[in-house]
Amino acid sequence: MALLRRSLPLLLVLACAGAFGCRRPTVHTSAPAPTFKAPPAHPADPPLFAPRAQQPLALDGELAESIWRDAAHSGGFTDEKTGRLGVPHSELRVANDGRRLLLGLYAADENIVARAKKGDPQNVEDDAFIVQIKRVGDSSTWQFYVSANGTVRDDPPDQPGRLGAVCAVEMDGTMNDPHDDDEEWVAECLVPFSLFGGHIGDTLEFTAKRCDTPKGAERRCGIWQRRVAIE
Amino acid sequence: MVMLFSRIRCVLTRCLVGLVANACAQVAPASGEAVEVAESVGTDAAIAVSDWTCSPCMQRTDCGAGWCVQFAADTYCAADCTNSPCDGTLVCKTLITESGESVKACVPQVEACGVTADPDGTTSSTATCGYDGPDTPSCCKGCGASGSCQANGCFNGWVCDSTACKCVAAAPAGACDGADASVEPDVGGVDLEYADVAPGTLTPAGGAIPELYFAIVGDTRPALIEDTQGYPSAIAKKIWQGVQGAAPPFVVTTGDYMFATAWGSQAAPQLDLYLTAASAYTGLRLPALGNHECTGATTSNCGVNGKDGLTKNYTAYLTKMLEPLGFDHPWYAFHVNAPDNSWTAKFVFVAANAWDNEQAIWLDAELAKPTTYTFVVRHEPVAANTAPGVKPSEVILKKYPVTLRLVGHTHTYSYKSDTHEVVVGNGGAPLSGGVNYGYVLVKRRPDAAIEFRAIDYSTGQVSSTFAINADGSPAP
Repeated sequence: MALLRRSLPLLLVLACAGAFGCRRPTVHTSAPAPTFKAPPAHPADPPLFAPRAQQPLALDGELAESIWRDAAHSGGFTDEKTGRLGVPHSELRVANDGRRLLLGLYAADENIVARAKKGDPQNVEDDAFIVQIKRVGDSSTWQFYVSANGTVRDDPPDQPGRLGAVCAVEMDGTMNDPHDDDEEWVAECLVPFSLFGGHIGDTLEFTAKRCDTPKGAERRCGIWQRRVAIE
Repeated sequence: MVMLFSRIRCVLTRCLVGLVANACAQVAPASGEAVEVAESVGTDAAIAVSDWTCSPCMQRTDCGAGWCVQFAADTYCAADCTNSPCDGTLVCKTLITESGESVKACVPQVEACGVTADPDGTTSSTATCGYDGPDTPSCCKGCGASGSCQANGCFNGWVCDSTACKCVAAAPAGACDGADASVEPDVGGVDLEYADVAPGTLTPAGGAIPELYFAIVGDTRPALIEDTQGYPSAIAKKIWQGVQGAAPPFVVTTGDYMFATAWGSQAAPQLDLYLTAASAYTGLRLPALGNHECTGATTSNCGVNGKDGLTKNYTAYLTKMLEPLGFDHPWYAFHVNAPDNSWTAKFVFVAANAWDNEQAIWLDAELAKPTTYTFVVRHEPVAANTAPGVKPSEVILKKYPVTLRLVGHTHTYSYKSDTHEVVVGNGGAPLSGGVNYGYVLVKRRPDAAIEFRAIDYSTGQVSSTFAINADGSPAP
């Protein structure tokens, strides 16, 4: 099976050719993002820096633009249970374009599973990232979810006309087929500052989690938490 | 012996810290003049150069309050400089930690951390075993069209056997059978029994070796496409240093050395980083083609007859990794045998992402040649059956006896007895399983069984073993 691309968000974004001013015409969310309990923060660690992209981003699920090299790197997530480097490998990169956060999410995955789509109840076995963002000093946390089939859920739930998060997903493997070995999937996402009340110069508390069920093994989750300054 | 084992275990652990600290304290400024780095600058604002700065590290906890960052193709401790300036001899750079996080850290202006002291000089040296070294004029004429001819008439660091005017792979230091008896082999924590194998005389086509002994390394690439600066050089270098210490005469690699867009510009730079890391091993390296040497997609098919054609990734692979070996196809065979022919072995390299009828005919003919052992080296395991050459090559393989498939693609290590394959894909690519980065050492036992030992790169210790007979059946 070929390298698949989730085309809906891609088509929406290609229509405006990667311009920063692009507006997504339809809300892409369907349900609140699932919640999770984040581990304690590490206040001693300085923030990472999410740089501003100087070139338009093609939202195609391929993190080929140079901004992804300059973006804040999470490195590998930490296993939620053991506290050691989590496997399969998960990684997050963060940049901005002046109005939106740019998130690149990488997931090594030998068996890509994602069954729930927009409008469906959440499938807890789906491979997905959950990202929580909170401005330092604020009490509220915004959170969103993107699964390997490109389903985006964000919080608060659907509000007609609201500008939501949008993602394009690319994978190398076959979806929902345990009979072969897959390699990875990648989500490239745009998150408007308005969703969490952010601005250039803000420092955000980031928490990201990704769960996966490897073949013949128990479901395991990796987690990453850090402050990120929007440059 | 005790001292040897102690030194062996130093290679991949922190024992080198003390050896390197002195060298790292000599930091050359832009002028090139060496200066002594101050222990502390004595101001509240500046980052002090503490005793861990620039020391080799494997993880953050090795570095006190600092980071373990990737720098100068290795990992070193460095102080954070997010909120404080660095000492005047250091500069603040955004670097990637050993775990992949981006941080701001103080490092030397030049990559002086890469200068390491090795008291006995064995870490980077090679042995000529009485042959003419690369810089010694000799009678060999092995350069062919490679264009990088050495003074001895060979290329790629090989030495010349002047008695036969034949190029042979340089042996790892200390691996000469008595020729370099004064130099102890550094085997990276591996049982000496595995390292005390004379190198024999090998060419890319094969040759005679006293023992069937080799290593397997697979899948070395960044997690993200085009991320050349995120190339896992430090991990790869440590893996290849471990392999060098174990001194196998040759190494099989299972594919995926890059993650670059098919028609972009990063394939060659990433292969250069791979080859730099792999140069820590001085023996013969035999590569298999991975899907990332085509377009990156498992379904891709390159070559003159492939739907994806001659991508930049594919041509860079051919030019940098196969041409120096004298191969013009990504599929080839390597035959080795005992000097008395008491056993024979063939390694058949299948290019499942450059599959065509010509390769199918070649594979059938190659497998028909009888040998005691047959190893099929292919990037994709049986289960990664969307690669164009997996299913058709399996049809051909079923006609012949196969000892084991040596594969990668899945970024872990595992032995699958049901499909007769060992997956070695933990060479630096983002891990998908619970096994750490590492490599595998393979040796024929006195009972003729083949024993596989998976080695954890961070400790040099064996993490798991299995053994099989020539027909692939399990051996005790």
